[in-house]
Amino acid sequence: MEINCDIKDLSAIIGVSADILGNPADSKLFENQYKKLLDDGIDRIIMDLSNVKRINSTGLAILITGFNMMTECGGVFALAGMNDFVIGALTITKLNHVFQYYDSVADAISEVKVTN
Amino acid sequence: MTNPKEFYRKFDALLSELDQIRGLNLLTEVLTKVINFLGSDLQIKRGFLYEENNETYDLVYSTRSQSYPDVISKSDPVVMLTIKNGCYIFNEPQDMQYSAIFYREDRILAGVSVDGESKKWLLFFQLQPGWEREELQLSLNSIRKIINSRISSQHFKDYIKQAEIIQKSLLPERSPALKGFDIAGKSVPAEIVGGDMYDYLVFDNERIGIAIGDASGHGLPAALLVRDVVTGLRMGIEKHLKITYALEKLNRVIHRSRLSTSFISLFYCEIESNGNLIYTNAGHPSPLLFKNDSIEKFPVGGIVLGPMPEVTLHRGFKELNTGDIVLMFSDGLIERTNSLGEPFEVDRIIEFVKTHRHLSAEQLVDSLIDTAYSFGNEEEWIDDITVVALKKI
Repeated sequence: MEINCDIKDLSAIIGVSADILGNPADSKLFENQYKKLLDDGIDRIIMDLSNVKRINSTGLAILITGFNMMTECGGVFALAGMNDFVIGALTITKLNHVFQYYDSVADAISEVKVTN
Repeated sequence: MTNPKEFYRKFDALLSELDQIRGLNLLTEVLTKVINFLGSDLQIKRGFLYEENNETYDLVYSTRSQSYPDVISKSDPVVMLTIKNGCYIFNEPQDMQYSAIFYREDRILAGVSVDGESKKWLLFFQLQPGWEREELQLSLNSIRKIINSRISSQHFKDYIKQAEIIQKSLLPERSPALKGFDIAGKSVPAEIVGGDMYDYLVFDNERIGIAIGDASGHGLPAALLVRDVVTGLRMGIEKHLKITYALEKLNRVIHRSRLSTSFISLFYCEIESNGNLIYTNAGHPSPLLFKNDSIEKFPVGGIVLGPMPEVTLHRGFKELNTGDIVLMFSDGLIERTNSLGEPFEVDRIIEFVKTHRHLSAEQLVDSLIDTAYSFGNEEEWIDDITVVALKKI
């Protein structure tokens, strides 16, 4: 799994590349990344999941952690570029009713800007 | 030392042998193997093992015929110095004249202490002329570290074993009897303990509850969440109480546990012997209802339990008729992949049940799990798998 982080228009875009998002060892990595962004004053995160093939329950927990950390600070945590499998996992768990998600990072950036 | 290269080759061989030793004979095996592998190089003649016992250390093993005391006091200078230093070479026995172990003045000993969870052990090696302090100290300290690490690891395994026993005790021992129904369930964890659960709640002869759930992640953290959920369900669900209320309350408990990143998907239903079924589905893969000529899902409910401080769940209803089968399962079943990376998927479950619906509930569950296992080329399960079948007969 690889992650990278770009800052655009005061939003952080975290790009994730993984066959399966949800290796237990990755949880801390993401949590630290979220914390660092909050410390830097950035509370709007867009997760670019366009290079994630599948997601398991640990991966969903990684997303929930980000969502909780950002929203508790009044921020935004949005998902973008998910394939059918990842959307399916959100739909089964009904987490699709919790997360904001968009077809692409560009869509997410413009929406996040408008709503904030 | 005869030849440093040869010595370290033997030392490596010894360490690798120590790594293979399993079970309770670790310390006696260590004594024997140290002498067999390195005895001639380190000038070790024999070894003795003492075990802590209240105010004394008792001799429990010796590599040769016994010529050491059966019992040594904890205040014996040899005992105290060995424990204080972890590893100590007594090369001036005249200074130890008050020690029970040095009643013969020509003895030169090396002592090693080992820490168990509730007691200590002392290993003594009797040396013969020609020993060298540096290599002896280095070797015995390394061996001591390995033994201590192995004992800690064994304790950890013991704790995990206890967790496994606790978790198994939470799974139903047998299927409930409900007039007009055949019920069976089975859960196979991918690790020693798992994040899947199923449970039966029996209210009376006419009404039972069935729960199936899947906690996020694997292993011990998931197992602990499962334990909380099983306990919470058993305490929270009561006859004639709105089932969504109990699950919404359970959600608050899970969320407040500060593990709100953890969640559990949960399907819960109550069945009456007349065939009425009430359910709510908190983000769990929908069970399948096989009617004679159609297949129905159980979509009504809400979000998984845990991530959000408050959830709203809804109830759904089904009517079961003779011949109907309800199959509940965890995602470990549908996500089981074959060598091509293709998942088992719901379609294969449907196909399987259609062609095996004549089987009893127990046969159906066992056979479906076997089929998924074969589908994955009999590789180890990478996710927990749980299946519960309910047949109206």
